[in-house]
Amino acid sequence: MNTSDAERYLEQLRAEAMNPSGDAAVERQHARGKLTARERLDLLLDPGSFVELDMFTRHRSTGFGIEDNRPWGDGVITGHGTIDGRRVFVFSQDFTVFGGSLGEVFAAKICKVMDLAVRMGCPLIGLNDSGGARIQEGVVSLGGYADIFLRNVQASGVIPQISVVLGPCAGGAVYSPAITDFIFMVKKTSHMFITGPDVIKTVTGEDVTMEDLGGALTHAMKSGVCQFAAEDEESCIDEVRHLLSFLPQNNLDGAPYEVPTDDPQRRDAELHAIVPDNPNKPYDITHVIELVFDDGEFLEVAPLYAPNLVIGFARLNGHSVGVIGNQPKALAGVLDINASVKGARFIRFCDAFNIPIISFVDVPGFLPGTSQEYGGIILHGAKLLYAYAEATVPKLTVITRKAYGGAYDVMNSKHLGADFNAAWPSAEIAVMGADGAVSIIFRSELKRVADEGGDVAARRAELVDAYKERFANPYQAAERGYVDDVIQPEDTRPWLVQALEISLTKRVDGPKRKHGNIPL
Amino acid sequence: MSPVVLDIRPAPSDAEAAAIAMAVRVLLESARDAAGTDPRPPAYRSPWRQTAMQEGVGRSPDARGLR
Repeated sequence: MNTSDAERYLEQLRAEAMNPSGDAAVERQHARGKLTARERLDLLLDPGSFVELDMFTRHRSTGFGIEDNRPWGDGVITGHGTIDGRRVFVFSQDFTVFGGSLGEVFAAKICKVMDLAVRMGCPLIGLNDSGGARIQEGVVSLGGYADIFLRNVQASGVIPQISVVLGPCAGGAVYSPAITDFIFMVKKTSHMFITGPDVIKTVTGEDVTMEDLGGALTHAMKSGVCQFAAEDEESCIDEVRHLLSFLPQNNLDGAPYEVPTDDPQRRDAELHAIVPDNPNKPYDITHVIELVFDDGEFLEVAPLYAPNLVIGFARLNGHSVGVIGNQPKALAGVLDINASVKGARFIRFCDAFNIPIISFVDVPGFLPGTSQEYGGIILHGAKLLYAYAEATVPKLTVITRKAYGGAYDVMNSKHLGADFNAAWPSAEIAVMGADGAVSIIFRSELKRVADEGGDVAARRAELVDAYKERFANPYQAAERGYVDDVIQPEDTRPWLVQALEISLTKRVDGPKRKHGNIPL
Repeated sequence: MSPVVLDIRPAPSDAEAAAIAMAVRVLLESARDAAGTDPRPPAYRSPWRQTAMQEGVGRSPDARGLR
């Protein structure tokens, strides 16, 4: 073979590798409402930035006729590219090749880009569309999964890891996305489960559809496995790019900074009218967040799961921040098991990647009830407390209304190491609400009034008013320095900007230890 | 950036002048990048902050055992 023949052969191989399963398979993929592995990468990465690795790898398996079919690339495209100019490593599973099934070579390709991502300090994004283990390769395939899991764990907290599930992801395969930081899914075409509907029918007798069992909405609303459920692949991948804009490249990188266009001194008068006079009336904390942060931009994470606690990313005077807020319009903003776990995981992500945490507090307490107690609210609530206390990134708090009981302590109180805390004049920082407190403190007096035939309702109202005047305000806490200041609502943005910018050089070095023991 | 104009005596050859101009341009651009065009607030370049991030990793066992 002379030089020009060799060059032609290379081009021929490249052409084959670019479309290893043929046009008919691509059409079938499109007919399922899905893009191909390469089309997805084209959407995800900056145009022309993708550099492919291992295009010419092939499996070495034999048996069951698989040796006669050795497509280039082995069903997964790997490499690196840029998103908004920042380097990321990627893999994109190709369902048109062996159903995207994972074998030895397939797994080795993924492991290689994972190793490179950690070595270079770049985020890793996995586009998953796989039928599972390649059965013909037997236990080697299972070993390949475990090789990936190990790397997922080792990379956790070192580089951001994002999983985008764009087709089936079943059995042991689910554990790789589960370890990563964020999971994106697409309605109707993405499915994740340990065992599918047929096995469930056989074992338990339950009838359940793929979508109900492991669809995007199921995992976005019920299980909390996925944080983003998109309508289609295009919007899903666009959301991935948006999320990346808030994240650093690695754990030694500061959170991203964008030159702001929003005035740091902007005071939005609308904040004045948001908290209703009636403390039992709800309002939307996301509206507060949008009014405070740069340009009203707020990328909410897991909006459909535990909506009583809002989490997400925003920018404050250009600095990327993680935002947490009790949501009064869902379960009155109470903390329950799901909200505690949701918040704790988000805080730990932000802390791992040097993203400051800003908390908005309006919490009436922890949700009472046997289902919560039997479900372990003690342990799960402790996770949220632990995560806040453990975090060493800048931690700021604004109490907008209720901060009652243990939930006050948990929600980034000064006592847990918050750097700067402020309260609005509408704040009520107390052990409990006035009605409950009066019933306990004045039980004997109210009984006596009742026994004497007095007006119990009138006396109770007097006592409630007295309690509110003394305790249902922010000034008891301010007297003790538990809040640094009481501020007008419209001053929240300028107050947070100065508090954050002071805290950017925060340095905390705790005692050395192998690791803490968060109550998992 | 405005173009670099050189007046060198004795006059260099065209190739020498081009090489000198390139070297000066690279020097000026690197100096500008280091000082003037980083849009981030000074805190981002603070050694104190950099140390804080290093210490944050140092106290975490997860930082060990990377491949």
